[in-house]
This record gives sequence, C-alpha cells and structure tokens, in this order.
Amino acid sequence: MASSIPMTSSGLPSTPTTPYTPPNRPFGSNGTTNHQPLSEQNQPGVPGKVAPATTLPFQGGPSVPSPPASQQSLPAPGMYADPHAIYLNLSCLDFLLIELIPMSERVVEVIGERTTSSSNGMQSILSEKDARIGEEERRGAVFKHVEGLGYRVGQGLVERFSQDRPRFAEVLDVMKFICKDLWQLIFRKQIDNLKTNHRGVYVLTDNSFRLLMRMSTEAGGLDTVTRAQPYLWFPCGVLRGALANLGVQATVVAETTAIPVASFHVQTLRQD
Amino acid sequence: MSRTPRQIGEEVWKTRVEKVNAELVTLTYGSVVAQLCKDFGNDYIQVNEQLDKMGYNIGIRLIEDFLARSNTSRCRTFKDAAEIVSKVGFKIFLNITPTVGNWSQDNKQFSLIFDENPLADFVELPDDGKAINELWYSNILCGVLRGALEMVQTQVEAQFVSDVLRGHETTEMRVTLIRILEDEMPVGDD
Repeated sequence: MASSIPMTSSGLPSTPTTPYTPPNRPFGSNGTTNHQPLSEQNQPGVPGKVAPATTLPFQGGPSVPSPPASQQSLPAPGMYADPHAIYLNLSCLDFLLIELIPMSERVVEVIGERTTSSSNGMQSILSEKDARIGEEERRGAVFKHVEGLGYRVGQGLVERFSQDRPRFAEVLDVMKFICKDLWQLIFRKQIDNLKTNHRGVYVLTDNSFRLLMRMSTEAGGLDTVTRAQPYLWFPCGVLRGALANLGVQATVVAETTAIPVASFHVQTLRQD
Repeated sequence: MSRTPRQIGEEVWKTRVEKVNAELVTLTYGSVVAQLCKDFGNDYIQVNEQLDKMGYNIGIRLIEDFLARSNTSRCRTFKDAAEIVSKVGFKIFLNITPTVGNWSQDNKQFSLIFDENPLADFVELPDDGKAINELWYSNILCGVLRGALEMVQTQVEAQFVSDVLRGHETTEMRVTLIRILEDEMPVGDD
C-alpha cells in the first residue's frame, strides 16, 4: 500500500493497479478518413426542398458504459489518457455544477438591486403585470449568466482537449466530436442521439443527462421539469462555446420533457 | 486498533471515489471566479463573499457524501477534527492533504497549509494591482469547510491568510472554532 506517501507528494494520481485498456475509440485516432460513412447523408438538402430530419446513428463503436464507481475507479474512459493529468473526486464537479444556478440567481439579485435602488423607488406601485415582466427579466438575466459560464467552459475545454486532433473537415465532424468526446468528458457519457435536417439544425438528445439524473420534486411531473430547466442552461453554454471555438457559430436552446431526458437544439448560423 | 485518518483517506480515495480530470473542475471554477470579478466590477470583497456562500452551500451537502464514503466516527476533540478534515476530507475530494499546524494555545485555532491546490492550477490573478491584495481566489474552500463542519455541530470560521497566487510563500487557511453546537432534538421527536 502506498500509505507511506509523504503528504507533500505531488498531485499525480497514484498509479492504477489494474491495467487500463482504453475502450474502443469512437473515432479513428488518426485522420478523419475512417469516420462513419455519413458524408453522403450530409449533402446539403436540395435548395427549396425541405430535407427530412435524419437520425445519425453512432455506429462508430459500441457505447462505452462508464465503469461502476466501485471498480478501480479510473477517470472517464476516453482518448485523453494523459499520464500527467491529475484527478479529483467527481463529486467536486457535480457540486460545483449544481451550485452554479443558485449562485447566478444571487448574483443577478445583488446586481439588480444595485441598479434599481439607485434609479427609482417605485417598487411598491409596480403592477402585477410589471412584476411578472420583472420575473421574466430576472430569469433571462440568470440564464445569460449561467449560459455565459458554460460558454467560457466550452471554449476552454475545446482549446485544451482538441489540441492534438486533425482539423475538422465539416460541421458534422465537429458535432460528432462534441457528442462523443466532449460530452463524455464533462457528462460521463455520450449523446444518445444526434439528428439533423441537413440545413443547419442539429438536435442532440441525452436520454439520461447527468445533471438531471437524480432530480425529483414532491409535486413531480411538470413541476420537476420546470424547476429542472435552469440546469440545462449551463450545458447550452458549453455547447455554444465549444462550437464557437471550433468555428461554428450557433444558437443553442435546450428542453426537457421528462426527466432525465435532455435535448439540445442547435441552430448553426450560416457564415459566408 | 483503529485506522489512522491517513489510511482511511488513502483507502477511500483509491477504492470508493469516482474520478474526474482536475482540469475540468479547475476550468469551471476559474470561469466562475472570472465571471464574478466581471459581475462585481472587480469589487473583490464581494467576489470573496459570493465564493464563500457558494462553498457554504456545497459544504452542507458535501458532508453527506463525506460521511457516506468515509464512514468515520465522531471526533472527540477539535484536534481530531482537524486531522480528519485534512487527511480524509481534503484527501477524498481534492486528493490533497494540507498540513495541519500553527495551533493556538487554547487549541481552538489551527492552520491548513496547502502545498498544492488543484483549484488554483494555471491561475493568475488579474493584474489590476487590486486583486493581489483583495481577492482570495480559493475562497470557496473556506465556505465548504464552514458548511460541512456546521452540519456536524461544529461552528467554525475559516479564512485564508496567505495565498501563493498573491506572491506569498505559502497558501494558508486559518480555521477558528466558534463553538460546538448542541444536539437539538427536533420538536416532537422523542
């Protein structure tokens, strides 16, 4: 046992005692040639004709089940088996992601108070309608805040974890990288389903989205869905930031109709 | 013969913890701090406060995770608690064991000295000449400690007194025991 490690030892993780075989890589490690034979499907729709939405199956490899926590708990399988990487408890990330929402709400409130208290003292005569608008505005501000955090994280992740990859040839390759590698990295599994209409719209569905996995409310049903919504804003930002750094400008919105399914609607913006 | 805190920490970290690349956490936390600095127009006192609050909320939830994984028993003294915090708590969440030291004479105050701090990897403070004197970058940790300990009836105050990011020799957090909270039975619970 390594119990004698002095506490000043470096942050390197202890050497795993079981051999680590990287799982099948969904993408070939070298080059883009052995991607799924989807290029044909990816032909842009004939102008003037609406292309039907297509589901793009991930045939690249068997879905890699995340290892049960009880096993020699190595980090997420994947292509980033960096021997120098240091590891933390996954709970740290979970706690942090959960806490982003209340934090953003607090910040928006504090900043909002600052601006309104200096501008007017008419709070008391606000009509109900105004109050509702205020509520919507507040929600919008929280959204912007959380989404912004995600955006920054998405950018950083791509910068860090796509550095050794060949350049992506087309948007679909970017999407697949995000669905498989990036998603695996942050949310410990791949996107389950990627659909596109071949005209710039992509729908990414995660059937058991990590942040929603353990959510429930007393009332259940719609109540849960409504209250879970803010937790989809961060991943929206991550997607948008990641795409932006890979050269794809897009807008991203998310919805969940039943916990823990989350779908992300990506509308890429045409750049000429 | 019961196991030492160090052994418990090592064992839990090795066998009962799912791991994540530290860069992911560092990056996310970094975004939070950067955004807060922007939000508050570089009013770092406010930023410290928000980070501490965030940590507190994490702490009150993290303690469950901690107890479930570590299965440690009640600490008899504040000194024991300090050892557990360092060798088990920090170990199983951040894989570090800050040094416990600088005990005050009444044994109600100690320091955690961080030789490493994954939250602050690759970090530089804003060079506006102000952050270096006002921002405690890792202040979330103080909140976490305060929140977690409060849930086990130990009310503490925690604050950083030095940080290598500010150019100090060490990163040191000072923890002060305020009081041991009495176990209170919920009303109507016999």
